[in-house]
Amino acid sequence: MNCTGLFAATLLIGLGYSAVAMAEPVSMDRAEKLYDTYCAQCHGMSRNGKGINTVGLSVQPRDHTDTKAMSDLPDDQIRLVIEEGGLAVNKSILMPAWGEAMSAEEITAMVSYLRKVCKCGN
Amino acid sequence: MRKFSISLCVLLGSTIFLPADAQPDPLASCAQCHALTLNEIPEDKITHRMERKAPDLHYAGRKFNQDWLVHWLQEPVRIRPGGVFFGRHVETGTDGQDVIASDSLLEHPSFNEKEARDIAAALMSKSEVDAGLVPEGAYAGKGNVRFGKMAFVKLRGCIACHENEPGKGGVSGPELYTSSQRLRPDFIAAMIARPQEIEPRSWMPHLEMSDRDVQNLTSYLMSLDPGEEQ
Ligand code: HEC
Ligand code: HEC
Ligand code: HEC
Repeated sequence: MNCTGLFAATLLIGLGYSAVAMAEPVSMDRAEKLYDTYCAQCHGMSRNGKGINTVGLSVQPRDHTDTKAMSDLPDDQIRLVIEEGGLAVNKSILMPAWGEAMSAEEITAMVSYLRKVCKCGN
Repeated sequence: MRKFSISLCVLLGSTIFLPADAQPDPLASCAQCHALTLNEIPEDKITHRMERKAPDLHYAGRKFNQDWLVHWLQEPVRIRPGGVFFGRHVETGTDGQDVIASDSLLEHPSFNEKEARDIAAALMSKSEVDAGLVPEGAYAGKGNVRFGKMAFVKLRGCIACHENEPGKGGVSGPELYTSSQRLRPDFIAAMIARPQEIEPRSWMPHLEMSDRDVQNLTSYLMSLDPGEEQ
């Protein structure tokens, strides 16, 4: 194989690899990082609903460590509220929509991450 | 060490090799905290946002009013009550409530008037954001202030992350009570409509919004006068 061929092959392998990597499920570590960036400002660094933005907020965010309350929420509803925001599930507008900020795979990982935080996996 | 030697080279380069009438780059000292060009921003935007020391300035010319820059660079005051990334400044109280540890926030370097003018002029030439993202005329100049206020504090929930007067509102985003002095109205409108495109992976969500909402909100923010109690 000449140099150009080798280069092209490497490029192809590289492309194939990144395509696979993109469809791969998002790790729990990454989901935790996404939570720290997007959700902790309201839901709290300890995931208890008492983030820095909640002082004076008219509706308080959900406590994600509340096993009982969180197990009452089906996965579908959690997914919908993350993707489209509070209004989509008849809750407060203060819960924003994250569908443009996160990919579908990241939202799937976020749902699993919330199940881990509430210790209410189903 | 690498950073140090680069700046040393820049320093030597500028004194030795530049023609006598050329000025040293007024933004040279900013690079230790700010990204000044798009290609300094790494691929992993989430990590960049959590770790960067200061906001990115690669499109400063599309964002700021020059007069405000000249003034602020001489007497900088806090814009982000929670810091550049709130996660680095949070303290959780015994009651489980998160608060910002204000004494952990950085004071901004300040400059004399001549320096501030040169720096502001250099910043205004930075417009490295896709031109379509902050179009001239994004703000049409005739939104309804009262509806804008209602959207801000109630219907659209902006107040959860932004202060509309000192000490009132959320602290994870920049305060907005000085936005009429600080920001170009076209930038305000564009940022409200497409935050995730202008600031990829920002913790400001992209909210579905009609252009009328965008215009009303921009008019409301433009009406806020920081010298005046609301
Ligand atoms: C601006 C503040 C804010 C941010 C940021 C935020 N939330 Fe919320 N969230 C709320 C509020 C307020 C509620 C409670 C809504 C209600 O009960 O009406 C809520 C409720 C929820 C609920 C419960 C919904 C239900 O049906 O009861 C879930 C799940 C949730 N948020 C997940 C998230 C996730 C995941 C993120 C980050 C991607 C996030 N939130 C970011 C404010 C926020
Ligand atoms: C030691 C780190 C540091 C250095 C050096 C520094 N800055 Fe900053 N800069 C910051 C931080 C932190 C903020 C955020 C301040 C805030 O939000 O209150 C900031 C904010 C700004 C802002 C407002 C940005 C925005 O999006 O709101 C401008 C403009 C700015 N700096 C210009 C400069 C210029 C020009 C220089 C160099 C002449 C410079 N800075 C040097 C740390 C620095
Ligand atoms: C969940 C928090 C959150 C919500 C809700 C939110 N923002 Fe923001 N906003 C931010 C953050 C964070 C930034 C800073 C952008 C960045 O650098 O990531 C920002 C930036 C801005 C800016 C640019 C200000 C500057 O100095 O850079 C404007 C204008 C703005 N927001 C308006 C609004 C309006 C209007 C609403 C309601 C429709 C809103 N925001 C809702 C978090 C939020």
